[in-house]
Amino acid sequence: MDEDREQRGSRIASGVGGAEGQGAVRVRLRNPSREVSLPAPTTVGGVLEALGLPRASHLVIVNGELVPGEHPLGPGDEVEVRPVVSGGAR
Amino acid sequence: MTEHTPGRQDAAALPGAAPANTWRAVAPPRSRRGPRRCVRCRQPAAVELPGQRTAFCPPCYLHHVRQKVARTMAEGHMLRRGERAVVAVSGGKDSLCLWDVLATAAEADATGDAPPLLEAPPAGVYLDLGIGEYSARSRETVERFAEARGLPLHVVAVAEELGAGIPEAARSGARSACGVCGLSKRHLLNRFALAEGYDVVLTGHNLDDEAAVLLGNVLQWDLEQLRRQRPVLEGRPGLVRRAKPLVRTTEWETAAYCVVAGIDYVVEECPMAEGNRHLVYKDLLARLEDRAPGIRSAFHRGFLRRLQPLLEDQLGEQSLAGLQPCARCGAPTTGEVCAFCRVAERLAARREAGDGAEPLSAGADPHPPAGPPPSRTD
Repeated sequence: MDEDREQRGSRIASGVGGAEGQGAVRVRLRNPSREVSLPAPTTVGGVLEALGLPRASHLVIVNGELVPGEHPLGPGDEVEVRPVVSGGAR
Repeated sequence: MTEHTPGRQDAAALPGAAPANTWRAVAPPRSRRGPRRCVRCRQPAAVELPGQRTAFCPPCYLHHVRQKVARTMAEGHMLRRGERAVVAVSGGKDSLCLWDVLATAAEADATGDAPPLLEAPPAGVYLDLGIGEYSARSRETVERFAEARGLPLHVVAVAEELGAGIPEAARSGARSACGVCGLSKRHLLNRFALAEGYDVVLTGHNLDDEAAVLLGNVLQWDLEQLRRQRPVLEGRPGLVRRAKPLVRTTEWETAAYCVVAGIDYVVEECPMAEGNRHLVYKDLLARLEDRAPGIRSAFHRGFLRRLQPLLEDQLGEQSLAGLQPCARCGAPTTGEVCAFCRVAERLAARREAGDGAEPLSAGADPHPPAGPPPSRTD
């Protein structure tokens, strides 16, 4: 299951399999900064699942605000997936 | 400038619940029950915490984090009434979350609206690591936050104390970038706190940091590092007490706190941290957490309750016995000269020999395999 998820993540993150057109949700990712499109409708949880990213280490910010995992997303939403992991020494 | 500055979510109108038929299309179980509600006030929830099986609306989420930090500090005896605390701030989500929580607690304390925690909003101390644009952006973020909140801020430049910034110090080859960064922070924060008369240094180490370090120490069975992995490291002559009020708070929670509270923080990772093994441990633990919500907390909490006290009993005395003042700076150390002074001397020697200023070549590994593992615990 993890392998499937990771394969999906790398496929979409590399631009292969991304959805285009009016029925797509555009998602901005950080570190490194990039943008992908996913088929609409989807949910906050669906975005992370499609990208193969752990929920425990990523915030999904919709139109500047946090929303629950089952919040529906459509083409007009501004979606940012932000990693929360910081590393190194502090 | 950081790239994203969300507005204060607690002050803004909450997004309304979607029509039931839209919910049904993507999430049948929840659509039958309606949108998830805040466990505290029953308003629509915005922040879900699967590991704690709970959810909050924005204002109640801020309250939840503040209460958790206050409880952690009280139970850990991190700060006693009347003591002066300084917060180590980096511009990242954890330290700014902590500073905001403590400043808010002090303000509420002053009006009698909350249990006593601090008599005055705490000062912050920022260490300028000398990592090019990253440090410049971090400092700007911290200064902006301090000014907006009216909080006192001190700045200490590592280059002035060590003789070079972290990138150049790492190139001297004594330690990895994270290794020399960690020891510089510990040394300089302690020196600053001693000089300024602070009783305790509060740092933004979170639950994920501690769980990742714990996993690394367990994988190597490093008993001495395990013994020292505590939320509070008590002070002793030459060492100011250090405490980690966010030890029960995940970094997802601190990041969410900043987004909800409208705190602008540096989202970008430190460029020197690439390849750090603790990032690998964190990713493994995050994937485990998705499968078993709460497992990171259980892992760390179980260690603190069941194993750490045993290690303290067995190894604590012998570890204390070997400390003596550094021959150069007087800081407690196990050798004749402390690690910080040794790095400073090595840098000075390289400067004298004329080979300390070459730039790091593209693709050079900032974490040489021979270097010691980075530690975020002490």
